[in-house]
Amino acid sequence: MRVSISLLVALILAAAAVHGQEHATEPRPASAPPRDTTAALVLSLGGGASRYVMPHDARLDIDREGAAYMFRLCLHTSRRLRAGVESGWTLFYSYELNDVETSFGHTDAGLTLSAIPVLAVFSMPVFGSLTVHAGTGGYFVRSHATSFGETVDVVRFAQGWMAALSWDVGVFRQTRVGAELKWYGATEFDDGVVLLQLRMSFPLLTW
Amino acid sequence: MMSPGAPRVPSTRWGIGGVRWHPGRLLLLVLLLQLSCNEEVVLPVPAIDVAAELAGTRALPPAVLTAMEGVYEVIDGQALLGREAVVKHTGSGLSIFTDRDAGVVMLECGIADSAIIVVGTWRKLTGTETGVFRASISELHGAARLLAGGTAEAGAVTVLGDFGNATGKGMRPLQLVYRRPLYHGPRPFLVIAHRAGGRNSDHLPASENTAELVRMAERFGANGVEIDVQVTRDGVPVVYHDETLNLRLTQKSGLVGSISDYTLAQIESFVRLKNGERIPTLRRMLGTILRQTTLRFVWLDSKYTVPVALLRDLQRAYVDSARHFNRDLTIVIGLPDAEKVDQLLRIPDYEDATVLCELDVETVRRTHAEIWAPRWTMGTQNALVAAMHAEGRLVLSWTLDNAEYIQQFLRDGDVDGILSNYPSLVAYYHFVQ
Repeated sequence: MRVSISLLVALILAAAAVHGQEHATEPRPASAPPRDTTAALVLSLGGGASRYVMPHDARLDIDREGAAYMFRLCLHTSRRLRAGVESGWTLFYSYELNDVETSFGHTDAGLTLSAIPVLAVFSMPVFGSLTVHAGTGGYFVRSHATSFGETVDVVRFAQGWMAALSWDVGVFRQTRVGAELKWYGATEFDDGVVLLQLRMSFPLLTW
Repeated sequence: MMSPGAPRVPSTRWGIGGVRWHPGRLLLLVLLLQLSCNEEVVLPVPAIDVAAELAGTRALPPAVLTAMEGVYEVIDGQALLGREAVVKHTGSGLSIFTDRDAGVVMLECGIADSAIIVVGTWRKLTGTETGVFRASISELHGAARLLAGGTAEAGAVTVLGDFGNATGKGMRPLQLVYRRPLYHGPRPFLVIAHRAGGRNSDHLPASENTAELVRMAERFGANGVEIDVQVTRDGVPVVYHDETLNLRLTQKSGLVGSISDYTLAQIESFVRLKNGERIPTLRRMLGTILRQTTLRFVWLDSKYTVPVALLRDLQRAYVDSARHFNRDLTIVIGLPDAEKVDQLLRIPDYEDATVLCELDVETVRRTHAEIWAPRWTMGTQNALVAAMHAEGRLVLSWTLDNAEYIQQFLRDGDVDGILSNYPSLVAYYHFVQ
């Protein structure tokens, strides 16, 4: 599983690179830095919905839908390939259990699993305003569990990856808005979500 | 071929290393990779109702089950049992051990008229193969002799029957003839099941390190078990092997981290092992071993944060209970590293604790360990084993799963027991010596 996912990320990057070479002589994409600058540090902010897509234990009726937020800081140069970092927050899933039997008696219990991604991201515009993104790194996965009236929070790092496709248009000076469809995979814990987010990006710094 | 200077034709295909990839083919490749990496083991359950098949039979006295023990020649059924099979009284019935794919047959027995009926299931512990097994010993083929209190003699006991696959179909004939008694050696030999039952747990409806599996350990040929002990955040010792709550051992629960991050109440509220069991407390495991098995050896492998002093207290309590129930049960605390050794040496009366040390012989002596347990890769180490024996200590080897090496240790070595994921294989090679 992990091998195939890593391969998928590699293939997306390779395909994007090859495509980028093929279109190297085409007009500059709209998301490139302004012509009077050679580089820009572009901040992207996004928010939207998440859906947990990995199989889960059938005994638990998990709530798969949630919210997700992201920010990405990406270095844009005259090259098509861009590199940056991404973080944010996403819900993986949550569930409630009623009247669980334990050796201490019965209890209602609930758990929320969320994650903060910490990813190195590589992006490349492929068709006009369409950009592919692929990232590697991991997730700080947080269990927030309550039973017998006591809550515990435990955070562990899980290796993982991401892949995304975004589309955006310029709306005001160098600010662009659009949408992003994304997969976050915390493969070490076999967790994964698909996210659909609205995004806004603008250069934070240009030189 | 494109001529130099010819305009490039936009392509919807991607190239890597000269190979052109259509997006559809790329997707197919990814799907194939995905499918090839997802292994789903289907665990067949043999279609046999042992209780129903033995309905109307009378219970077989334990003495008769013991009298049936021996090494049997396999006349028919070598595909399942090889050329020789070990028949052993285990639990409430019989087990048959074979070296063929670490096979084991677990049988319940009854008396119908003057015949001994044996019914059960076979399983190859190296895979998921399993099936049904039905046989009997007729009055003329030795049942009269055995039921009259006699012992088996070469050629005097013949088991006839058949065996088939998990659906009970494709039945093939079976014939076993008693040839010789089991080898028992100059001193008792320990066959210790790793993680309360060994790798069998992968293919059985019981998770490793559980009370459910420990009840099966004897049927797999073990007379001892090794279990892994950790401690919860509120200080309760529980039986669990890995450092983290993970998908190898548990159903997906959403709890990340380790056992020591959570209280027992939290673990019981959320976590279920692979086959649906709760993570057992050490008290529950020891209680099960004491009251529901005849196992005579328990190796408490002290993991991660579990304090040795806590194990010492429980060891003392359950050794007292075993004495109260007149049970021959030895419970030893395993010392796998220097940290656990230091913890032991800080206990005021540590010399009284029964300890197994996995480190060098000098540490064995320093800790007053009754048992030295070197890793099998160190070899048979006969000179050191002899020295340990001369000092009154036992020597166990761990974790031996390979048939060739098990035979080598039994033939060339002088250890007092072997820890294995395939206890039936160790039992087979020990008893056929």
